[in-house]
Amino acid sequence: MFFSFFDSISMQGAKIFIVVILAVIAVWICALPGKYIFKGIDKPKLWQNLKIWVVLLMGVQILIYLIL
Amino acid sequence: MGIMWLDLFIILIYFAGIVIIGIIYKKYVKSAEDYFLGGRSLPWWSIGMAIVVSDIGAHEFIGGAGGAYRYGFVQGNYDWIGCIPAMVISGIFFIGYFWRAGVYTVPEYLGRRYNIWVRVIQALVWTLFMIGLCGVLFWIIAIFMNEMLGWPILVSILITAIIGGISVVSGGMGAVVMNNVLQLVVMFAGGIAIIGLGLNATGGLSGLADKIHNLGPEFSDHFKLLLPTNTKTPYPWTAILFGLSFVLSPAYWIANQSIVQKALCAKNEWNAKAGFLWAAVLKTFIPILIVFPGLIALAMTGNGLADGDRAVPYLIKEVLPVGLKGLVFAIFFGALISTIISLASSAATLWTKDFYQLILIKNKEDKHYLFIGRLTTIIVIVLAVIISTFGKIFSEIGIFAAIQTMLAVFQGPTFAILILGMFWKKASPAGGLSGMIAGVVAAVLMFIFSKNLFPGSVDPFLFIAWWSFVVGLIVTVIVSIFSKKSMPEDKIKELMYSSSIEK
Repeated sequence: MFFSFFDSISMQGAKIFIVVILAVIAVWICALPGKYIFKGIDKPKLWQNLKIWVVLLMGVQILIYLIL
Repeated sequence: MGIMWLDLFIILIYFAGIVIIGIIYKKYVKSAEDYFLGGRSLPWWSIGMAIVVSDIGAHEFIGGAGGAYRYGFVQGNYDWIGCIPAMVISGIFFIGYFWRAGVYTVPEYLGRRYNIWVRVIQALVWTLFMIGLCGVLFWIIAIFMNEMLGWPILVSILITAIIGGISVVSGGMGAVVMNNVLQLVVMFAGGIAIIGLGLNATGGLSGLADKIHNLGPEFSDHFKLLLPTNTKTPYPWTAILFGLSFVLSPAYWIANQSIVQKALCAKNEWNAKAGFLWAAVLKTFIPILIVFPGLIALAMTGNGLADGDRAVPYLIKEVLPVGLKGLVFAIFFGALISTIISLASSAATLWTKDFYQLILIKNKEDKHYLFIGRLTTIIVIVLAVIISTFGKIFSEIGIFAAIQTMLAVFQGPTFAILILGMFWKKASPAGGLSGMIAGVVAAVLMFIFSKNLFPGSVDPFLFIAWWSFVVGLIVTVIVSIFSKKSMPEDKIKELMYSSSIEK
């Protein structure tokens, strides 16, 4: 079965796998053009940069899965 | 039962507040758009708060705490890896498409991308699911009220239906969102109160851990977030990752009408996206509010509860003082009601826009569809009340698992055709329809033969969600490749990933 392969991965390996996925998502979104991120508002302010929100969110998730 | 007159007074004030909000918002509902989408005028912070409360009203706080009672900290995955990444991706990419397309529903989007039958089937399936889920939630509330107030189950269900019904039928989505916003504030306050007082009663974090570990070896994994593949729980890490975070979670946060509809109420695209990300920020704290009550109840009772889903009512009765008891009860009741009225509103939107207006009665004036929306909401609530009378079945398998099982049948195939529709221009109307049907049939068959297909798995709904997604994906691709007709590129360009990012 497809999932039998993962029986051999340690719990530490599983954590690293999850952390990498979270980091990839954050990097992907940071690579988007700013015009797309701010679409809908005329004079964007720093706090309205959704990339910052995403980096903070993914960062917290990475810490949770590394620590717990 | 532990509820004093002060508690009861607070509870009744709360009930009245829910009704009053609905009546106040009635004056803002002049059109179908006002009723279904709050006039497309809402700011990001209210959208985010409404999304969270719509999501966690019942099956998270009570069912989730029940899950934590049974299985431990692994329950937290539902709101961390099982939510946050999907919410981020949905908020940044998919919500923008839906908002820009000006759709009322996700099936409407799928209908534009594929064909009318995909739209109609999706709408009918989601409507039935939401009615069923409302029924489960009515049952949860009834257990809650029976436990706390001693009211008969049927009486509790009817009172809930009347309170929620008046609010949503009067005020529409505007009332739903405002109820949600207020619920979230007091929900956080109440959750923190329960955890603080509960940890005090169990001797703090270390006392809690000691008490649980002393219950026996079957509780040794209760403080682990990830469990090995041979765990006896339904949550091996592979199921959490592949079934939950890769399939069920994105399908829910991208394609669940009751969630997406909040973002469609935004006043512009940035507010729609930011609303979703704000919801993700708030969701980060939810596992703490949900998991700890389950663990505290386990420690305090020594695994003495007949049903893990009674953990939260037990804590409210045993841990909280008079006054606070009533307030927290009202908070949870309000959260449950918020989810119900959100679901009822979304089910009415789906039925009215994707079936009634599309197929049955077309080209009537807007006021007619506003009336039908309200009438449908009432019918949804009545049907949910009927379903709730069969609630004992859900209690036997665990409420949380019951809801997730319902989702696993069709969220996987829905997600498959949504992803292909957005990223692959060759996904054809025939492919989308075939993939959706094949995925659902596969999921049903897997459930029927689950003991043979997933031996050793306690409850394989997460694996079924993954495989039904794979079946949906494969069938959609194969049928699309051999299809003679695909959608003209100019008709679907605006609905695809690349053009929206490049603009």
